[in-house]
Amino acid sequence: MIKRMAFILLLIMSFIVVTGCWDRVELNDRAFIIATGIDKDQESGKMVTTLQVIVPEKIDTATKKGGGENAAVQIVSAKGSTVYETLQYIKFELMKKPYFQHNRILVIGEQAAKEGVTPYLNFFMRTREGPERSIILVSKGNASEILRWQSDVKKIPADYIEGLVHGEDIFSMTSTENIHEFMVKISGNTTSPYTSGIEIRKNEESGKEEAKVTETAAFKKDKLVGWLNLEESKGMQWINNEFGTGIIETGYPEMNNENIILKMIKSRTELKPKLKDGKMIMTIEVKGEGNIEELKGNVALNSQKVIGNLEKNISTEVKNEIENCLKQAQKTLKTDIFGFGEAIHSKYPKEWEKIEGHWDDYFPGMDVEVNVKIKIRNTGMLIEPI
Amino acid sequence: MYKEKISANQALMLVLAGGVGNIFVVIAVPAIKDAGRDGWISVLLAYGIAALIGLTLIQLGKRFPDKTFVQYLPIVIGKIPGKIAGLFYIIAFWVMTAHILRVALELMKFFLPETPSVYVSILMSILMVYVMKKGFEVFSRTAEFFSITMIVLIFILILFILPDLEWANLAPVMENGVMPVIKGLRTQVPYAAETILFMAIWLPCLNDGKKATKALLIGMLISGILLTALVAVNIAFAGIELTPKQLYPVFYISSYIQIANTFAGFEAIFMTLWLSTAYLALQVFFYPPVVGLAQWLNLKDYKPLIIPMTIVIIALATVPSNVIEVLKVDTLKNPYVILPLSLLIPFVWVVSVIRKLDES
Amino acid sequence: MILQKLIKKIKFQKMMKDKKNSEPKDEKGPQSISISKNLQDNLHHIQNILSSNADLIIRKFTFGKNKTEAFIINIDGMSAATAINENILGALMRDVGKSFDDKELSIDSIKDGALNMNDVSKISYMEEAIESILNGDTVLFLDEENMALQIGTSAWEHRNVEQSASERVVRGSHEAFTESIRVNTSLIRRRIKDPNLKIEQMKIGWRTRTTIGIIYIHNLANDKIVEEVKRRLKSIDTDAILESGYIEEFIEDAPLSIFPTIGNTEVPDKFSAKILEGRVGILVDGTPTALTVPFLFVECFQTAEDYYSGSFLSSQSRLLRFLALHVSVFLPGIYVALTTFHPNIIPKPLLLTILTTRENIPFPALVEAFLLMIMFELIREAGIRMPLAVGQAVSIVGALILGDVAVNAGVVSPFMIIVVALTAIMGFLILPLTDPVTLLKFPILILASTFGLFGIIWSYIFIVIHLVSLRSFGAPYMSPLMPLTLKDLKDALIRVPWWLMKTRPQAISWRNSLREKEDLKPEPPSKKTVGDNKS
Repeated sequence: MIKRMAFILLLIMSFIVVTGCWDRVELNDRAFIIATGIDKDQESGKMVTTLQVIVPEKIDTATKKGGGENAAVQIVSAKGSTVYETLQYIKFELMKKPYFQHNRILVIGEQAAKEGVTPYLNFFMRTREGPERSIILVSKGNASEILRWQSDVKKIPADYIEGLVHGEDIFSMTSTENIHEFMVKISGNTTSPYTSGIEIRKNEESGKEEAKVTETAAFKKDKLVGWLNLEESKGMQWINNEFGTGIIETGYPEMNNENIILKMIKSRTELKPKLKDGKMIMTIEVKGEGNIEELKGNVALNSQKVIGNLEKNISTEVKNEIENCLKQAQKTLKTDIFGFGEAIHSKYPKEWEKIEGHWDDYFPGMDVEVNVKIKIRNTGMLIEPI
Repeated sequence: MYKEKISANQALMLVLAGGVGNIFVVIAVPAIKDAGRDGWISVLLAYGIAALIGLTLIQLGKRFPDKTFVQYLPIVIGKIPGKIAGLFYIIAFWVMTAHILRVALELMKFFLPETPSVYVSILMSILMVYVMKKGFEVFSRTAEFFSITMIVLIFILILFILPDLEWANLAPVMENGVMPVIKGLRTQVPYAAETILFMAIWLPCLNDGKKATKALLIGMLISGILLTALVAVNIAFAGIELTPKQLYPVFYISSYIQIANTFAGFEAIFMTLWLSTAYLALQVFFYPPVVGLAQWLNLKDYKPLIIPMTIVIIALATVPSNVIEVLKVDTLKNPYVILPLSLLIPFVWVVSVIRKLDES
Repeated sequence: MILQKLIKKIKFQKMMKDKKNSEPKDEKGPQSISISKNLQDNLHHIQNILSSNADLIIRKFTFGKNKTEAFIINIDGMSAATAINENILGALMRDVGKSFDDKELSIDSIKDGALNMNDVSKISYMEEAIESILNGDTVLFLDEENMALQIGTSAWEHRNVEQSASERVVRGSHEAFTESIRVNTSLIRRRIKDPNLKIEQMKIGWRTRTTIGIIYIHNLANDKIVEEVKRRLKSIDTDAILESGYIEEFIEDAPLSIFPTIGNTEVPDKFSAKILEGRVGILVDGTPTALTVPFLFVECFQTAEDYYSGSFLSSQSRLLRFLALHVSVFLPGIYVALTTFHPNIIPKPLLLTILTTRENIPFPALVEAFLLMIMFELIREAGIRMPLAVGQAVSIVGALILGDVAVNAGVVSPFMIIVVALTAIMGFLILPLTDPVTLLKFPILILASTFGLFGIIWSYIFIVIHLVSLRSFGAPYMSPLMPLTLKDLKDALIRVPWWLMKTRPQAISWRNSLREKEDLKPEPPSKKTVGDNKS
């Protein structure tokens, strides 16, 4: 027994001796990537990886705000033919090994996105460092511009961009998908992914450069095929049941189109395919409830008739948004970013077998019915106008 | 011969340990490959079938209350065929222990890519040897603890991933009829029957034989539901196209979980889950060959066999040259090794009924 | 090389053991020498055996009308002088002449009629006489008698019943055991007035002749356990028992395990509670620490106060203690594993904070942790060993100044200080497990820094296997957790109210397991009953 204990003790001692190699990497020797950008270099045909890496010395925990020159990140970039190769060059530059474990954002340049993102995403799906939750953004222009942009508000610019995107989600302007959601759609049969587009714009008044999320990038499989503007993006959120508790801005035609702001408290969209005379018809049923937050103008909300008119008006507005979006997606971009194919598949498996082969041709010509029912639940603290 | 006794409660936990064991890591891919969207139905059905096989085993146990599977095989189907079948059983489990160790080592590569596997392998076998030396009672007590831990952790894993699931991925159910489900059974029944084959060795240890049926049915129900839920969650999470492309879909799920946009990296939970199941699975597969071999050779005590057999296992685990070969072994062992063995149990039962063999 | 040395050492120890085994026969002193009729012979004998003892008092005297010669022997300071003067010497020299005829004067008549002492017995062998003298009793030798009288006068200075230093309570009895076994047994008797309470006694140690008390309740304690305790105690063959720790190490089930399989306590109420649960207690003369067997793992988390204060708070503090055990053993390892292997598990804001504080630390996390933990152990050891006043100063210097300066100087990171300090404080919450907690931290830290979380979980499984394999006098150590005994969970990690504690622990008691009647839940008299009373 004592002999055995001595043996185990020796074994543990041997661990002390061998400790220090293998997989142990001290925090000081790790470079944490917070955002990644991928571009395609037109001249050489190679890819350019740009990384935003945290610099611990510059993070003063006491004063987390402020930015500009004091940004707590280092921007490094390298050119190569694969992601891994560029990482090796970057490792030399940093003198630390870069880790994707805390990567939050993956920005893909417009050019790279047009040529297909799968070759780049392969690395992110294969690595053990698990960045599947990083959100994908498509930049108008080069991705490196987005990464090099510095925020006035946050020490880590990527934090600002992340907040921006999630903030946009709350206001329901555009929708963002992460690497995992992207991959599920790309590897699926019919549905194509989409995500927010980002660009740097010069603010006319202050002259500063600002990061803005304005449009939605629509893909066909893994290739960027076009953009949906803000109106259409909203329509797409309605179709994809992602509107949530967003805001509707509309006018009241009888009252000089004064602005009305409606904040949704809940909304729900259902895709119901129907078979009519051997033809597939997609019905989009939208139901929602909202509160009036602001009403500029002389409208008294004191009768059911006024409320009813208002509801009807808002519903038409939403219907228009949806139809605009459908037009863009079906006629111009010809990509199923809504999951119509999957909806038909699960409801009419038999019919789906016939359509599946030529879905790409079938989708643009599909008839879509839109039914919107929006209710007003609350008018705020006022009934009559002041 | 072996005086170790376990309680009905521990028996239930042992059924669970064998039923969920290391399987939760590998079950999703074959289930989806064979049965597509309906993989989860296959899993559920497979556990039902395995439970039926288990019931015949209990009937056999009633006929030979003091003997294990290896001991009554020669009595029922004749001395030489029985001995050969027993040896097949022992060697199959022996090799499968090595296979499970290898699967565990491969999974460990996710966390420790540069650490030499042999160290991990030695550490795992220290646990194996230690608990085997302490006896089956000690193992069944630890099984109680780790089975419960395992269930709780799988539950937590499923709970945390719920917000990210897309249940529409599961529709349409039975798109191509029942054939894919039946086809899926071919790989799923062996997975489910592993625990029954393990039970064939420990059944005589149960102190109250009457409770065996209850323990078996509850155990198979819980593990069946858990694994069905796990496969369904896998499909709902990544769809039937992305899931089979991955090496370990459950690991993928765990690394994706994020709570309150802050807490991520649930590999820690997964690692705990995986290690406790790996420990259980290794033991579940290692106990039958050790005890079986001792009984096959008519030895009084199985303890001297432990260390030599462990060394063989460590060596065998290094045989497959890469992870693709490991997966190949996994697809080969089910139809050609475990399936015949699990069908042997009902066969032996039928023979014993016809020959009216009863020692009780 | 090291192995060879170790084996040599073990062989040497074995040899010493054999030697020791052969010793007792020669060392046990005079064997069966009868007391002779000649008074002078007896005197010589005793003077021979107990020579050069300054505290030995031999008083020769004559009494009665015939001037019978006699002497008494006792040891100064160990016996009650007034009792000897009044009740032995006074009775014999003053009163015997008045009430006895000389013919009647014999050892029996003196024993029965003269000595007004309660504990008097006849002895006929010399070694009995010696033993009782050394025990503080007085021995009376009479001329022409081949027997002597042993008179219980033992009374020595001992500490009063005071508060326990190690087990303090806010609510509940403040009495603690003392060094005297008689006082201790009386403390228990005062709590359990049951005729079934048995106090058996034996002596262990051929030099110290230490009194050992085995205490149990006849119908509650498992006979097999009582027999096993006695068997193990009897097999102890050593020259000295100075503290119950000696006994503990001699009768443990798993002598090489660092986990305690024998419970100890200093307070009689806790001791009594354990006896009432069907355990067997062992009292050792000369120490206030009493032992109880069988000892289960969950007992480490129970304190006397749990049972006196409300059950909800007690349950919460028990769960906290359970958490504290895990924290104190695994936290340094987990911290090192997370920072050096799995930084993805640390939430980003926390990671940023750790990164900034660790930026300029010269050591790897493992070395840092080791340094601090060893430093802490040193400070703690110093705090315990030093006199009270100085000890406090040491801990202030250690904790405040050293820690602060170390952080400012950039030798260690503040996070590591938090981790090690938390570990240390948590370790104090579960005093019975101090040994394993202190010892396990270091190997787990090494495993964690070599294999990351895998090392942590591996060691957890290893420890669980070890714990589960232990038994304490037949009871499974981890009961009621593994094997799961649902009935016993009521008093394991939580404590249910007293009116739900219907049975004693199943792992220990075997019969009379019911300890209270059904339906004891207190309820206000219902309205109906009140109405009935009025009419």
